[in-house]
Amino acid sequence: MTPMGHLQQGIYLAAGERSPPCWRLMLLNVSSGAVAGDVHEGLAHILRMLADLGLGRVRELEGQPPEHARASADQFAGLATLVAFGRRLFDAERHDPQLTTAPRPPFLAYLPEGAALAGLPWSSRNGDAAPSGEADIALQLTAERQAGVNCGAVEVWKLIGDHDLPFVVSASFSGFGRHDGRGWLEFHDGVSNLPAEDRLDALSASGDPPWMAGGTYLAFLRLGVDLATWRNRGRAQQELLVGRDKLSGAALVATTRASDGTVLPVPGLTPDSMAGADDRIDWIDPPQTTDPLLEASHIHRANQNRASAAAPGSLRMYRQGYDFLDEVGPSGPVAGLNFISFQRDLQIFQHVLHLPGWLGEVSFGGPAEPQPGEPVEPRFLSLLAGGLYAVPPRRDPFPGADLLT
Amino acid sequence: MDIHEDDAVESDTALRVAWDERVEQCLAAARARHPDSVLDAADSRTTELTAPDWTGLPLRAERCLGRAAALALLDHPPGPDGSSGRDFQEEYLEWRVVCSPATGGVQRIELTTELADRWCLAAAHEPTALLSRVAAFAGEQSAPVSEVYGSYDPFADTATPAGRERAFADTMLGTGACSPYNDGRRAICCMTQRTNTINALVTLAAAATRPRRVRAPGAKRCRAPSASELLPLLAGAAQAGRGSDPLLAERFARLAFEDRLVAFAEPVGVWVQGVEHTRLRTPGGEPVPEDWFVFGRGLGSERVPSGRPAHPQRLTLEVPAVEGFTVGDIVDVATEQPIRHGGQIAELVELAVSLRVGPQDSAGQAGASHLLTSMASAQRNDPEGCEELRREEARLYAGSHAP
Repeated sequence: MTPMGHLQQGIYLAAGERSPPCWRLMLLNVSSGAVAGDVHEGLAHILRMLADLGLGRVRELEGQPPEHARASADQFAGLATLVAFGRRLFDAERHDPQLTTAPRPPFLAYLPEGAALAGLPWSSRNGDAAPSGEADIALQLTAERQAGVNCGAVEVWKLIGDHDLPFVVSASFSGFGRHDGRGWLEFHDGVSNLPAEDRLDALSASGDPPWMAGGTYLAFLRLGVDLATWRNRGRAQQELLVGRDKLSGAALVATTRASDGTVLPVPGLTPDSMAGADDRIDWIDPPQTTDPLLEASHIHRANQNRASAAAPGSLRMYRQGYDFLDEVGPSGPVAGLNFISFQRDLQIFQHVLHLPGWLGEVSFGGPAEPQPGEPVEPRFLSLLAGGLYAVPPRRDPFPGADLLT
Repeated sequence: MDIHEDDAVESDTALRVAWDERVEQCLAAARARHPDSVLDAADSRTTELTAPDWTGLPLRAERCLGRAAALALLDHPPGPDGSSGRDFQEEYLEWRVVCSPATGGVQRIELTTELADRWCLAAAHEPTALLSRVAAFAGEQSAPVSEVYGSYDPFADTATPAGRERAFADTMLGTGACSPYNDGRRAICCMTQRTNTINALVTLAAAATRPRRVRAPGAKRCRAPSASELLPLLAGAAQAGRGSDPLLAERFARLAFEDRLVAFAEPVGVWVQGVEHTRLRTPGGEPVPEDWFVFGRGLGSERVPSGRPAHPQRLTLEVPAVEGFTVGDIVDVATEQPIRHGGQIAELVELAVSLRVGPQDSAGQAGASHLLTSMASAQRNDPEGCEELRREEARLYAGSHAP
């Protein structure tokens, strides 16, 4: 098995590969009093069922005419399941009997309540409720069709009920990919993601603890985006906060000042549409800048030192996010981003979100203490849900099976 | 115990001149081996500022040994032969942990990026101020001269700067048993790990700043080399697996690739750019205020608006007595672990080196850029030196248990 082969399906890191457009994260908690052996059997059952769905085999429709079976197969086209284990699984206070004696990875922790992450408050929509997004087990479903991931999630619920499996569905989150490479802010999103040759170095976990060797870690943040607040900023301010030209996606290369002292962005050249990947690299992943205002923009704060993944201090993450839209009502859209990142250690994720100069002092981008004329960060992001998960390497009968024996 | 840390920089002109000369000597030696590299000093052509940053927990120890073993090793007290966990603190940050005699819990953590060379020169030129500073770091009225200068009398009529420097180095930086005023038992004054030196920093910069470009197979254009391509070419000037070296090497190489002039910003040194204090919570779950971290020993004479010295080289974490708990009761929410080791705080410390650089395409070296046609030189086994590190760990533990 190649090193990349140790990673589970559902992480789309090969050169030229695009993640499928449909996504759902399903969170399962183990039922009270369940024992590890039953959880092992139950999870194996769920994963077998999901694998069958990917082949068009639907339990309830067994024996359907061949042409209908082909339609089922088409509905679940490209369905890939990734299984991950949360901090809760290791929490002896939540599980009696304890589900696993395997060592917890050092940075597999609950997201803190109260102040949450630096610069990123929990949404007031959660009220006093405990933050959601934490669970014993997360199933990430990706597929070509929305029906594939949605029906897949419901099939999991059916299976749990039909076979009295020791799980409770605690939450589920949906998301979609855009074909234009942009996000809700209408800027290009994900264009500074890792070069393909760097991805495995950035993702592959070490052997501490040993059961994670060759696996990876998933960080999930469901970020609400207050579009009205964001859209109150003019294009130039938005570009300075993001660090890119809004239309072309070209990274900014400098700033200048208008006669009234307002800072204005200066974009770099946009590569020819026929340019090869290596000609577009500075557009995709611009080098570290010496302009303090550009260094304070989102694309530089999120990747401040710009080193390759081969440098252990480089803090690189591989992002695979999906937007969401919960509703559009009288008060506007309830929309946002399911931020998903894979990294070799959650320590990296924590550094990026807490280091001053990175995202430790802002929630998105812009100078921490803006001077007159400089862009002022609008507080337009809030955390709706989130959790950190260990994604063990492929194993038989399923990834992480050893945890539950 | 109150610590009145002296955060004033040395103002003595002779010391400043001596330090400038020391840096120049290091740069001259490095430039002799790598002529097309860093400038002797910043000048009117180096108009832009950049400061590569990294964090202070030694990543190589963590990666090679596992986190728990690494954290314990890094705090290992000095053994009979003087070796200690400090020998593994290799990210240009060293620390000591002060525990409560009553409870054994962590009471204070002191961290420093101060270079030994600069302390040697202070010992040579400012013995009175230096002794006062050592005493302040130890929380004592005065420090015994013999614990800082050995048997040498720095105030004798016959004393010379060179003699004082040598005596200080032998006593406070010795590879054998080291003074308790710098090995962490009573104080930590400056770095002693063998690669946390001005010479190592300058040598790395000069070796990595040689113009190089890489053309990957099938690619139409060149790019700057990555750490894995670069480090095998640097003849031991950078250690793979560290947080600092590979990152600094890549940054220097990128600046050279962009055909920029590169110089260290004055004054030269490694400084504490910030702390991830938002990861820490009190026993009541409140975020730890940043001002529980005391920044001191600025690299220059400037101060930031808050009154803190600019470019601080020293950092102390201690909970104000009025709070009724200690550092050992603080929890890092990223791991859910209470603070038991200095490495847990070193991990939160952001370090930086300030560079003055010219605009892109200003160095006129693009034509001399060395083209690397293969992606990487053959990597030796264990490029991060884990085997050697494990042997050193075993030696330290064996030595500490020796009768």
